[in-house]
Amino acid sequence: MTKKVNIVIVSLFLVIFLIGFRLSYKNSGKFRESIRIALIWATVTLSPLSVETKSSWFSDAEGFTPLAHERVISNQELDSLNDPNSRVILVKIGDSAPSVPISPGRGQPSQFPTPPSGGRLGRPVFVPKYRIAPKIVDPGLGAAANRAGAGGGGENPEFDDNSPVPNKEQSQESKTFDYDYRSNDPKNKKKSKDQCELDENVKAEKIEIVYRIKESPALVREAERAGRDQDAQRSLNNLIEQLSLGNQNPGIGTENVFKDVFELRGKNRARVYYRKVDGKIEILAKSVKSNQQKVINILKKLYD
Amino acid sequence: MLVKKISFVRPNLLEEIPDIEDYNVDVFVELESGYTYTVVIATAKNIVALMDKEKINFSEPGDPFIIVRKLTKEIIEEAVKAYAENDAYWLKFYHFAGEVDTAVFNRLQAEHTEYLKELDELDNS
Repeated sequence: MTKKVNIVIVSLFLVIFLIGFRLSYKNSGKFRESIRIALIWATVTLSPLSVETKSSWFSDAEGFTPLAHERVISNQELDSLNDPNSRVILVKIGDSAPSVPISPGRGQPSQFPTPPSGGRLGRPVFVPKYRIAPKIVDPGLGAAANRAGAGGGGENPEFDDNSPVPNKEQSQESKTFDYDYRSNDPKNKKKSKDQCELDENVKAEKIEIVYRIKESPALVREAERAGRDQDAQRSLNNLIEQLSLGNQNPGIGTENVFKDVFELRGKNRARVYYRKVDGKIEILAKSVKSNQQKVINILKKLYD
Repeated sequence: MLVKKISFVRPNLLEEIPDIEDYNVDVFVELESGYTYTVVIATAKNIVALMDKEKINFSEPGDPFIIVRKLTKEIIEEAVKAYAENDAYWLKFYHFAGEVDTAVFNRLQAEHTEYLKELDELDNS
């Protein structure tokens, strides 16, 4: 209705203008010029009405105007955030290499929300610092089943210390342990009849030990030097203990050095020099490998 | 390094060994530097015999042995000369083994660990 009124008003204005214009230029003979000016004036006057009329003609297609188009996108974004089933793509910015393709290609419209530009206030975009790894659901093995994660590359080694050892392997381990060590344990060692008699005889006839090292200051000094080596000192004590029990070949072997002087040799560098006099054992000297030859030379001077 | 003299705890020891394939001896090796190194030379069979004697399944920790087939003068001399090469590195090693403080190994280990770390950093850079 408003449109028709506008057209009528404009037409009336146009007619009044033409009549007035015709009367004022009646005597000058410029009729054609007056018609042309009237048409230009009418066009200028009617153009705002024409634009307004056009926009009202396409009221159902509001998306064709730029302002309306932006409003539609904004509403779609809000709707997608409210929808629990929708997929939200998180975009990392501030990095030279984007982790997702921001531009789909030349000349194509971007489907991703962009920061506001041109002074227009826009809706703030959620920008996380890092991409969030997909959560892998535990298939029922528990947290300790694969700490390194699928495919390796975790912080922990791939083998699992908590995995149970089969009973068969456990029993084998125990057997090995027994064989290597417990069989040598004197407390648990099974002894034959002969062995028991031998051990008892050794303990019953423990040989008397006489130390003669202190008779030579040089040998005392060398013995002290040997005693600084704790491993060797333990081996020295063990050799003498074995000798007092009647074992004349302890350690890695016994060697006759000269006359009736023998050398006991332990695995840990220890050397003990002794001789038997009247059923007693005389400890003449102690050494380690490093001063062995020196001690032998001193002994030769004293007892050879 | 040149071997100057090889001797034993007694001069005729080798001739008196009951079984030259199953025995071990202390050998004194004097080099041209004048220093005398002491090493234990044993036969392979003797290593097994010592395990049997101690009733254990391994050669117990302690001074390392130079292992030979037989304890003859020729073989011992050949072995000693081989161990005296390269500034007598291995002869010194067998002589001083057991007297080296654990701190020395710890220092070597720390240096090696640092070296491996630097290599890793170079690989990752």
